[in-house]
Amino acid sequence: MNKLKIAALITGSLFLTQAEANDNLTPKMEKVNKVASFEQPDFGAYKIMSDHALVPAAIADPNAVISKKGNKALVKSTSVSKLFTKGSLVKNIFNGEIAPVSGNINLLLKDGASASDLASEFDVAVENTYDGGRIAVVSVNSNQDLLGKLAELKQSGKVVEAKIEVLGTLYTSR
Amino acid sequence: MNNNKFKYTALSAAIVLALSACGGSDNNKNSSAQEVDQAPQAGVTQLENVKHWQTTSGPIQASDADGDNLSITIFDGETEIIPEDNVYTLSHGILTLKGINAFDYLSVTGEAATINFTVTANSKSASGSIEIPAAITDPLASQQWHLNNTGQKAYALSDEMKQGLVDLYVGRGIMTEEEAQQYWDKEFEEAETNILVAGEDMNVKNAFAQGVTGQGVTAVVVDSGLEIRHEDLAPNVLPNRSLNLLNDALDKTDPTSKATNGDHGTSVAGLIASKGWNGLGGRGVSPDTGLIGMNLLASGEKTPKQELLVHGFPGSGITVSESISVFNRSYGLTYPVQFSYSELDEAIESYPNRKLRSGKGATNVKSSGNSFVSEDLEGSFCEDNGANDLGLTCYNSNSESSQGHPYYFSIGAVNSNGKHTSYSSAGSNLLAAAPAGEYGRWAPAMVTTDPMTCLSGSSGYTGRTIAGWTAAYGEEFAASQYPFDYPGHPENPNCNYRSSMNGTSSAAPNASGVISLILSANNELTWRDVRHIIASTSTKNDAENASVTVPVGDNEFVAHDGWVENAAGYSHNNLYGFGRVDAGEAVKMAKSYSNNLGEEVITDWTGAGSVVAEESLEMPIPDNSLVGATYKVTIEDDIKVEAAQFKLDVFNDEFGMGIESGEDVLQSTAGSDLAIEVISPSGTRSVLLSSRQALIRPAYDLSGAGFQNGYILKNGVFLSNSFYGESAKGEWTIRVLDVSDKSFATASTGDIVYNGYVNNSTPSKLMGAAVRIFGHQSAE
Repeated sequence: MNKLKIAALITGSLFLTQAEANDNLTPKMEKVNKVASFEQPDFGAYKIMSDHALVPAAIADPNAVISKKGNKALVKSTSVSKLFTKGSLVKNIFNGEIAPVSGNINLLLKDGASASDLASEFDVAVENTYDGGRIAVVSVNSNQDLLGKLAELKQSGKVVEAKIEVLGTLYTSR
Repeated sequence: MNNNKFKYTALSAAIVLALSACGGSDNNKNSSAQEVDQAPQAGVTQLENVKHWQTTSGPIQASDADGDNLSITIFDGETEIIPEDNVYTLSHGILTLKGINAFDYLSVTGEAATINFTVTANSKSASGSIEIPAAITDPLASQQWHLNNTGQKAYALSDEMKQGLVDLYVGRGIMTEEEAQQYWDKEFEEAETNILVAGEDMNVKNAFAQGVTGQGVTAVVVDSGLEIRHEDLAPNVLPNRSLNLLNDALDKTDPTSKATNGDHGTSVAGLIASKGWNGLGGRGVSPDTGLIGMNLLASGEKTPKQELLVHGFPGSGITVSESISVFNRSYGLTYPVQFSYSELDEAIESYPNRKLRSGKGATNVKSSGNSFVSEDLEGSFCEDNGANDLGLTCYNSNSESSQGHPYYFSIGAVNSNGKHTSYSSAGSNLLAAAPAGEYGRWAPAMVTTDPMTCLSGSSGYTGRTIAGWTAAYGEEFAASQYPFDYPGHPENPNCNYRSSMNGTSSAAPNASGVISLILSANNELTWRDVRHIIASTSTKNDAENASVTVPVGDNEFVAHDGWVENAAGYSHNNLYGFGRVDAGEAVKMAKSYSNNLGEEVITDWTGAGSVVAEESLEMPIPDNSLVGATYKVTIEDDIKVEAAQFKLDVFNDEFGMGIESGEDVLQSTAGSDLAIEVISPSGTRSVLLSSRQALIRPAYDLSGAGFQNGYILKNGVFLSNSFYGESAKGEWTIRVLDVSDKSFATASTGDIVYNGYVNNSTPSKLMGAAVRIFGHQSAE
């Protein structure tokens, strides 16, 4: 393998965002929601933050607060339950946003499969079904592991696709 | 139906006599009293409630007591106007005579005017007039070039901007004042000649002239927010129907953004449906269409089922029978990978099309992306691999799963000269293009709504661009470069509007506005009919758009075809889809629509290898060779194509997360080198992947475990609209190539942090390929 020579930046213009060729005066703006992560996610676009929690800012230990979101504070804590379930936090590896999971799993069912049968078989609750039962939202209870349930549902042979619902923002404006 | 009222002077007997006395003439003085042919009579018609670009009807006040045939002559000032098919083109508008006693008038400039006319019978004549008041308008509409391009600047290339640049150059000692003035005069002149081209618009005026302004339908703006109390949006906002999806929102019906540096969704909404003819701001493309906002992009913890709610599922408040014309989606996920196709996402994203409007379907309109040149993530990758110089898109607009099916209409962006913008991502999935412009300095952007007051929004002290320029150069220079958005502009005193909105985020709502007009003109149309109308009526803009070739060994690969006319007569271009949407022609077709597309037919995936759960094909793709790996698929059914999907797996075991080499991290060029073309049974070619595109990391599965190491494409689905209207029956040829053996260093690593890209030493392999056709049974 050839060792590549890495060219240095020779002009400032490459730092510019949305630079217009006529004058290249456009100042660099703060980047919005872009993170280049080498992290492998635990599922989808997300890494589980098993040692983090969102707590009411008013009661948070100031020394443990990483950031504040409205009236909630993100804290790092060793006392957080390791069970990945409703309310657990995940980090979006694309934009760095930290958000909780709802405890729901969205399902696309195979022809002939029923959400209620799945619920009985895998001990989950049916939140809603749509589109003639083809799309279903099921939820786990607070002592069930979401990733485990996701794997069970995927392996059931009755599900085309399943996704854990995250209460965050995946997309950015264009 | 135009219901504008008119008022005309009543012709009482006394007035008739008076008019005859003053306006009539009688040259036949030798006739007897009983045989005297009376002169015709003419009067004054006073129009009221004339609306800019809308047609107003009225009567011609002319008669002849003897019943003689009247001829009429129309004057614009003192100048006689010669009609073409009873259409008189005047300096202020267009007059169409409907017989001798009625007319339609279209106010083009909006100014008050008097149309004088003379009626003549048997050499006797009388004069009358049509009095037109100043049209009811919107003060900023004259700058909205996307509606009616007269070559206006839309506050770009302003005198203030030029003076600011002169002052900057003089102040920094770069030039003398005289030199700077000459320099910038020349730059501005060249820019104006290049970018300001009258007529390069969406022909919206023509749709309005047909009496269609968007009534009876509602557009859903899924975005960062929507200021429901905005003075120019509120009249169209459906009360209590918007959704704030943030968990901590106190008022769930109010998605007004709390951000002070701008609200993307409020600007998007204004392009679709800012209220027309209310004397405020500008005019939406569909200015009488209702608005619902949903703040999917707002930062913060969201409500459960947000993905379902923003697609109109139960709970969203949208009923299955409601006349939702469009869900506008000016957002996306941009990352230098091909995202794996999601059938669950397709089921959710197609719900509006399949279930809403009582089964006729609502549409989804999606921005194609702003990454033709780059994102920050990949640094100078597309400069270093030659894509930028060649004019190839850096990111493929097909790279998201949602862009790979026909239920989302992918829209690219064009400029005020009708050509490609600097940023609009390209791909075979584009359905159409729409105006969006550049950044509002050197080329016009969009004039649209902005959060009200100068204390928030893009226009105002805290606007992201204004604040950035102010921090870099100071207030005075910032104000000179964005005079309309900077507080204090006389036409924008409250900063309720902006002239700097752009991106495919703007192209999408402009297309959404046109779709709203289409469904307002004919609410019986299905979502597929709308698609058909767009394919049939869009303008082949940038008609000379050239092809792009890349060298492959001693040969060449055509990486971009420009415009391709297919066997059914439809022209498609990966930069523009079927071209720039044409509201006037689309509405015209909608009003007289008689096409029957029949039942939708969707084939199963037809193909071989890993994409259809069979053993992998393992077909080698020779490095830097036009030979490629060719897979042929035969479709047996005679289906008329509305869209075609192609699913591919391509593997190279060198294509992982990168290789550390000393202090550098290197990646294989296997992704950059990959090109894909498809030839239809009719011989039409579509380039799915041009090569030199931002496939920098392994394919990514958002439903599974993320990066699929080794796979450049894994369940990668590309949509092509190039084959619209052709028969699917016959042999489809999919050719996958590696078109380069070059290694290269990166001048800027970007956030991805690859210092260079090393040519793959082993050939990539085609592991699976399949085709799925959307269409209808051919009538032949």
